[in-house]
Amino acid sequence: MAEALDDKTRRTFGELFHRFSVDWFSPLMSGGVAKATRALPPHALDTFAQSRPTDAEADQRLYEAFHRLAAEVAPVGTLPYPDRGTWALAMAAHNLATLTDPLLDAAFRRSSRAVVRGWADQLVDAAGEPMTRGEALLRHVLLLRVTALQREDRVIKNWAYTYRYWGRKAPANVVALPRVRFVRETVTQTPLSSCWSAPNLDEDMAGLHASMQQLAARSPLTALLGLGDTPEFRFTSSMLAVLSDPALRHGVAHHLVRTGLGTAAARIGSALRELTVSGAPPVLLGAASAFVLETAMLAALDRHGTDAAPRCDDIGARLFWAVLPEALGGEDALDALEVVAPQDRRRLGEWAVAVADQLDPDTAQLARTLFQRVALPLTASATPATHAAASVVSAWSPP
Amino acid sequence: MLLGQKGVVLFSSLDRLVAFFRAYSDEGSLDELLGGLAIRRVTTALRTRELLLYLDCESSYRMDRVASIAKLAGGLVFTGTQRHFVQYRDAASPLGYDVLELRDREEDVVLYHDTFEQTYTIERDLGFRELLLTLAPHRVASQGLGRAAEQAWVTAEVGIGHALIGYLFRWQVDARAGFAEWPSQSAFDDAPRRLYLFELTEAPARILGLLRDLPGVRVYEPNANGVAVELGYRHPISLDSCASLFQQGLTLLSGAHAPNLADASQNPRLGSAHEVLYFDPLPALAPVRSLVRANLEASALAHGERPPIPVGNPGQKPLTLRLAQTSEPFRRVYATAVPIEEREYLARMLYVLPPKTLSALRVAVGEKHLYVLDPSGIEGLPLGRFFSEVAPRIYVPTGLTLVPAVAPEVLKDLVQPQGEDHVFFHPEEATPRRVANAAFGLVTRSMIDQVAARTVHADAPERFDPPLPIMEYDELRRFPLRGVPQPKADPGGMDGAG
Repeated sequence: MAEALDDKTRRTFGELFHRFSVDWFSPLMSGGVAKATRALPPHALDTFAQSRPTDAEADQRLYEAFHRLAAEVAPVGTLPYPDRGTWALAMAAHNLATLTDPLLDAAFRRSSRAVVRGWADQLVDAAGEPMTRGEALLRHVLLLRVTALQREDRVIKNWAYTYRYWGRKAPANVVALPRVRFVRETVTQTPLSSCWSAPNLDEDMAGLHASMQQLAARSPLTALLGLGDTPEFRFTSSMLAVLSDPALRHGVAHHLVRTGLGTAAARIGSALRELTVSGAPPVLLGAASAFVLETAMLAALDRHGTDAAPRCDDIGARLFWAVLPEALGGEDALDALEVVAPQDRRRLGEWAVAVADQLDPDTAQLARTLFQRVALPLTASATPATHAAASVVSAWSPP
Repeated sequence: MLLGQKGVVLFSSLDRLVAFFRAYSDEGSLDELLGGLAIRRVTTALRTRELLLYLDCESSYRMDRVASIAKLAGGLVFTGTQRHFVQYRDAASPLGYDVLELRDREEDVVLYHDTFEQTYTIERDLGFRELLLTLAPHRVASQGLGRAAEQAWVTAEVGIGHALIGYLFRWQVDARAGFAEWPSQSAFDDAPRRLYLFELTEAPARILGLLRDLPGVRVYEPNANGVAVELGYRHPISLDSCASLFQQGLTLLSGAHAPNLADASQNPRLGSAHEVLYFDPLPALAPVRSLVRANLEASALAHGERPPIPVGNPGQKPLTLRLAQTSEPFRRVYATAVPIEEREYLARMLYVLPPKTLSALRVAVGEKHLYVLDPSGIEGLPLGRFFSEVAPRIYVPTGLTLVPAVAPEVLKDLVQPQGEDHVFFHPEEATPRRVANAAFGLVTRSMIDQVAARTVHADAPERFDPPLPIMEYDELRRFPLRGVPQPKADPGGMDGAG
């Protein structure tokens, strides 16, 4: 709900937006020094979402970086300009990034950290779920760059003293007359994510960690692309909405296969099994099954001739690989997803035979019943970015 | 109201009198004053000279007008009869003035003013026409041609008169010319003054401009019937208002010509004063076409024929092929010869030609020309000189034909050895040009450069790897949130979906 703002507040928000967009957001996306501004209150979101950077070059760099980074995941023509949700996440990320400043842990400043983190949480809540392919890509790209944020820590020593600066440049007087005063400066780059993902976090940093988790949860595409590093991976409704889009699904599958499937197969299979057990609607099951099938197909076609059949020791991995023989057995399942050349179909068949030998009857049966229940998404019908799964997930959430 | 038979206007100098006439002629007609008008130079007892203008007092309206303009010019108005004149009425005395006692003097004129009485002796009379012609026209800036565009009088010195007659005849100007002669004004003149006089009707502006700048020639613009002022000058007094003075003959008034600055430094007497030419009677005027010198030399060009262009060797056969003009309609226009220096135009033209025309064009590149053939008609390529096919593969320029008019089969035999070649007859060359049939190729192949395909490598595009973002914190504040607008207490107002 928009809050009526007085002129002074509007003017302040305008200045904040200029510094935020030009000095922080644009360099964040395109690279370089992202200079943070003051904490961004949540009721500035309306103003920010309706504004564009006053610096045209910064705006162009920002928009171009979104496009180029998004194109790494999925073929994109023109992305929509960052929507309100993206702006909200960017503001939240900014606020959370500023909380990593060690100098905030001081008198009169300490109390502001909880306030700012509360503002960030409100902004994350306000972002909502992505509703279009473009929004999903924008959020993923934003998260990608936020997690790549680095901080330059400087240790400056002269003949008498040692100074430390975290994420700030040293004053000129400190580094003046370097030869006379024997000034030595050591700069180390620290990933900002290490501040909230270290094993032993204090109370504030633990809260920061939770807030960053909430922030990351607003980008289901990022979660899918990084599921290989997520031990307890589970399909969420927003992830399934993303997977129901063929371009994004193919992008995720291609990324997983390209970076090496590894343990991801077992985690996907486990998540699929859990989704099946939870009684998800056929549309969502279909999106998940299509994702599993496409990933398995890409992995099978991408293998070298000398590669051995996959190991199916894990129960999750067995279900993952069981999908392919089952899909090859039923012509409809495969044709709806991909047009496979006869030569590739033969290679898939050989792979499926090798996999089927390792499957236990229960897994094969589960895979068979799975394909009887699902409604596979059609490739041709997925042209619009909003899709059927998005409407279903709004009425269903995993238990 | 007191009004005598005559009105008298007293002017202290001639320029005031002229100013009166200028003002009066601009506003009304001087013709109405001319009936009883007389200008007399008078002297007072102190031998000072003044001017008296005598007018008929036909009505008080006219006198009132004369009085108002005379006041403007610095004159005093009186009315009376014969010798005695009293001051004419003015605002102080609307009914006029009278005198208690007449002066019994011997002088010719006695003027009674409310402030003075003055007697005058008439010295001599000045003619108004002479006064008018004594005044020199003054130059006006960029007046244009004015009435001269309709009718202009031109005078020319004897030396250039005939040349001018020939010039006007050549340009078909509606002009009449006459010859005027005046007797010598003194015994020192070598010969009588002679001038050519031209009357030009609706002459073009360029011709009038040329004549005006020609030394020895003056162009006059008619002001009224019988009087004209040199073009570019204006008479001080509007001559329209006194046209009755010029009813007889023709009076031409020229302006004073200042010498050139360079010449003036050497001889200040150069240049000329204003001149009045009076033609009475008007000399006989005859159209210039009657006066132009007849040329009796016979000319072949007079018949519109052009000398034939010989084709072939006249020494071997008694008859040779020649190109001659023909009025026949153009037929079988299949070829064009584009000069080699216009190759660029042809190239540009090819860009806009439709595909059908382009596909039919065949071109051969010669030393001097590009020969372009189109069996369906070359009109689609509007460039170069068109050629008509008079016999198979024999072309002559359109509008020309070969004489004698031999049959196409005979022509084909005459142009030996032709074979499969194309033969083009050029008017400026004695020998026709032969272009081999094999030299003609499709224009699309002859004129367009070879297009070499560029190899494109289908490698994956370079991966976009922007530099890492470096976080730099804001300046350190003791109270980080001071000055930041705080949200209201209820943050739950924001909808989750945005």
